Amino acid sequence: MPAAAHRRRALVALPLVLTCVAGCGGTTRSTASAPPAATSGYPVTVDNCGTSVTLHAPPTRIVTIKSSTLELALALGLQHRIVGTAFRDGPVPARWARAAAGLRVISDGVPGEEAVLKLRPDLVFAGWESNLTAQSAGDRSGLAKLGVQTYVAPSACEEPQYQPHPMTFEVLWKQIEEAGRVFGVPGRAEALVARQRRALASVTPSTSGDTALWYSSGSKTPFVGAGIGAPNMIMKAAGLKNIAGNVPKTWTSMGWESIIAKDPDVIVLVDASWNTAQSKIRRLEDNPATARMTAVRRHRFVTVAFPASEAGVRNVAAVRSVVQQLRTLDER
Amino acid sequence: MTTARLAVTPSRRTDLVVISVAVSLTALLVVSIGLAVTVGTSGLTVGQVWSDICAHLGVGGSRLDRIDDGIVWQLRAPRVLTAAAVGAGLSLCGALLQALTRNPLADPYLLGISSGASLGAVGVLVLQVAVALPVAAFAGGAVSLAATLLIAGTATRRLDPSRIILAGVAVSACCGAATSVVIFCSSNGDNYREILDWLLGSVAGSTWHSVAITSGALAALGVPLMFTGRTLDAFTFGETAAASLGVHVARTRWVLLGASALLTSALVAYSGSIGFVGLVLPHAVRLLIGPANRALLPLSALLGAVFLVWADTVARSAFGAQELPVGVVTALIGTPAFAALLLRSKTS
Amino acid sequence: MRAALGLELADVSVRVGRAHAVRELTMSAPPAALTAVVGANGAGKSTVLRLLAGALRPDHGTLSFGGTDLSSLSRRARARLVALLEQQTTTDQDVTAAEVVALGRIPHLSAWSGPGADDRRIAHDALDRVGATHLAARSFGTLSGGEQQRVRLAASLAQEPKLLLVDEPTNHLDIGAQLDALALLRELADSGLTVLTALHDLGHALSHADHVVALDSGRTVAQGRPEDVLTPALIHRLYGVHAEVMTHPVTGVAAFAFSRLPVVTGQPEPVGVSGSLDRGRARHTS
Repeated sequence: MPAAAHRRRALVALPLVLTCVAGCGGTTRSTASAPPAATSGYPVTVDNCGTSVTLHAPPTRIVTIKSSTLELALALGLQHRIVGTAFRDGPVPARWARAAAGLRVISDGVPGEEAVLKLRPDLVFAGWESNLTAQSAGDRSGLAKLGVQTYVAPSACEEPQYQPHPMTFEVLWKQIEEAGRVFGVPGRAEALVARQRRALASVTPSTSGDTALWYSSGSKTPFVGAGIGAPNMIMKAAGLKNIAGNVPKTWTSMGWESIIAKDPDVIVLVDASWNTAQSKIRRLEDNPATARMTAVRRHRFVTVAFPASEAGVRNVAAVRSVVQQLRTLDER
Repeated sequence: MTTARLAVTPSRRTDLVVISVAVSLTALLVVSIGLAVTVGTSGLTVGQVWSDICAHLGVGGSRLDRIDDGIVWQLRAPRVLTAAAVGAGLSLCGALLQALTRNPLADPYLLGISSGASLGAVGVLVLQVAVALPVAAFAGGAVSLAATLLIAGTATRRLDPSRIILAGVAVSACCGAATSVVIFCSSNGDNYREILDWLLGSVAGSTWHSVAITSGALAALGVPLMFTGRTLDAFTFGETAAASLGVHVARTRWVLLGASALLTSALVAYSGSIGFVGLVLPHAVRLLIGPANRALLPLSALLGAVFLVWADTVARSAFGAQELPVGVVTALIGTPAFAALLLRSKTS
Repeated sequence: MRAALGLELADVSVRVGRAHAVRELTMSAPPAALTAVVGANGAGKSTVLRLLAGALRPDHGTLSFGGTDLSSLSRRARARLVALLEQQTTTDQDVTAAEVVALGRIPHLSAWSGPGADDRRIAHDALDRVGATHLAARSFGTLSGGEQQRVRLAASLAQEPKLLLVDEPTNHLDIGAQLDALALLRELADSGLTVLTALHDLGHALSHADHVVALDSGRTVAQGRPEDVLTPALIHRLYGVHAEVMTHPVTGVAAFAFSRLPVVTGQPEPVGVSGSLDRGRARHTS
């Protein structure tokens, strides 16, 4: 990947050399298209995870951090306004691949503040609240002082009163509509929500009443989808009963013993490049205690890609995929 | 009695060597700060950076646009200056504590200060206690220092170095465990990143406020401490020897320990627990000029400042668009440097 | 009066931990002379030295030297008057012998100034006095026990004291080094320095000291000339051994023969013969 090679080169170069190189080379900026003609609906003020964000015009130089925000921006047709992306969790779905191909990748991980500011953004769209601290892309008030607005995906707010209670598709679609207002594309947001609603309605949830574990990461102590986040929302829509559904958190750590005791019928595995579904299956099979679980013995696994496991535009497709995989398992 | 003046055999430790090292380090520090502020990932030229700085200082030059000016004057300049102040202070306190406890492995965090400060910081970051982070960190450091002194039995007024070290280890372990419990029970999935940054030590997010506090603490506490070198030398052969050389042993110990603990707490409150600076750099200086504390203390401070300025520069610009916490860089450099020092001292 | 110019301890008591290390101790030592303090382990010899050096504060009593009450002096003034050479202290610092000697100038220097030419000269002279100038650039840790002690003695002399306190200088030295050390102390006393040394070897006290103070359980039990103090009766009281003073048939020098059993008939089985063959108390030339 180009970013990784760049990082390797930079590691070897001395800071002084960097200075000279940076000084001698010019800065390149990605071209941004002209802002949309309609500026009605502005100024927009939203309470975003406890910070009040006000925009006076649609943002035209957007930096996205994490896949959930990038994919929402692409789904809203904003690719020409994105000046940089960072910290992707996986490849974008095929239908947006071409749109995403031309976007500048700032870094594989959390970008530093200077690297973000270099692109002169007017809005940073962050997938996690922790992306916006002094040690990562910059602290929210500091960026605001420099004229850079920040917007965190509302499903990822950390303070309890801003967390979903619980996350449902209705909440998700309201968040998409808010994003539409923030970015100045309310019509597109409405159309997107309508499409998603239809797609979800066309999915027939499984009726077998299976219980399921949403296994995200962790080997000694697994990190699992709990009761109020996107995992639970997806499982519910697919007709699965979440064994950690009574825990009032988005994700939680859960001991193997409780999991084995509850013996879920199905295990939903989150597939990420840093923690693949295959490695999780191997872990489950290698451990003599977990190997006894029904789902492991009968190989009843369902896979969800990591970007689709966080609240965003891929959740409906994830529900459909989960239902299909369950049907395949039942037909075996 | 011989009449001829036998010159003391010139060794590496003549006054001339000390003075030349001092001058070079000072010059190196000034140059380092000047250079470090021009390094970064945003592609500004040296001329642009200095033009902007000069404009702020009122000596000509011109300001850049809002964002570039923000990068230079709100991001880089305070960060480089804070790194210099923190590096100087940590290195100074390390040298001081190594002399006071006569233990070459002592570092400024000996008294449990950094682990207490970490507990305070984690409390704010994770439990969302409504207190400013530096205040919580400072309070945590102060409480753990008090606990260390209490456990070491200083109620009986005697300050025994080995007891203090052991008490510090115990308090550090305890605070570390408490920190882990808080993190484990309360943190969300991505909180760990902020916490890790703090635990590893980082000067990212430094503002002019942090420059004021850290350099103020260095001026108020560090500079007087630098003059205690001769008093520390009196401890070369132990407490009784120091007393017979006219040193007030108990008072000296209390004052020096207290002042360096206070200085360390003030620094750690803003930078987290950056490791290796206070442990390794005094040894490096000792290799250059010998163990005489009168020169060792101020020179350790100078070298510490230079080192951390460069370590932070590397941390924020050598890894592409991503930044590392500076504590990672100091550990990566510090470990092999320490090993090299150990090997060299064995053979010499 | 001669006694008033020397060392006087009056009714001194101090507790170390629970026990009284010295209790109502009264002793004196004449100026410009070598005084030996003897006694069994735990009798309080080291404590007396530490009290005089200012490393320990007495609970009660006065210590004075040359008519001056030592507690009325500032610590630095005291350190310019009194120097202490401890038994065996080590350092893990990588110091040279010259740097060790330079430490002795600390009471004379202020916090700001460095050592001047005078300080360097005094330090150099002190090294010369103990015959160790050739060791100046050597690393202290590489020196032998005897050499280390000489260097530390030079450091004490660099303090320019009028009272030199020495704690058991012969303990860890071989016999040659022991004699050299005692000879040096003898020389220093002859040149006008008041030297007070704790000694465990009674023969050394007998042969080298001008004045002896015997301690038992923190109190003075006898003081005076060596031959008057170190009587078989006192030695038996302090150490529980029987002592005979024997005279060398040729040199006429007195020495001790110790045994556990009293001399009844025939020859006793001596446990060890102690004391130097040279009664170096008279003007010692070496």
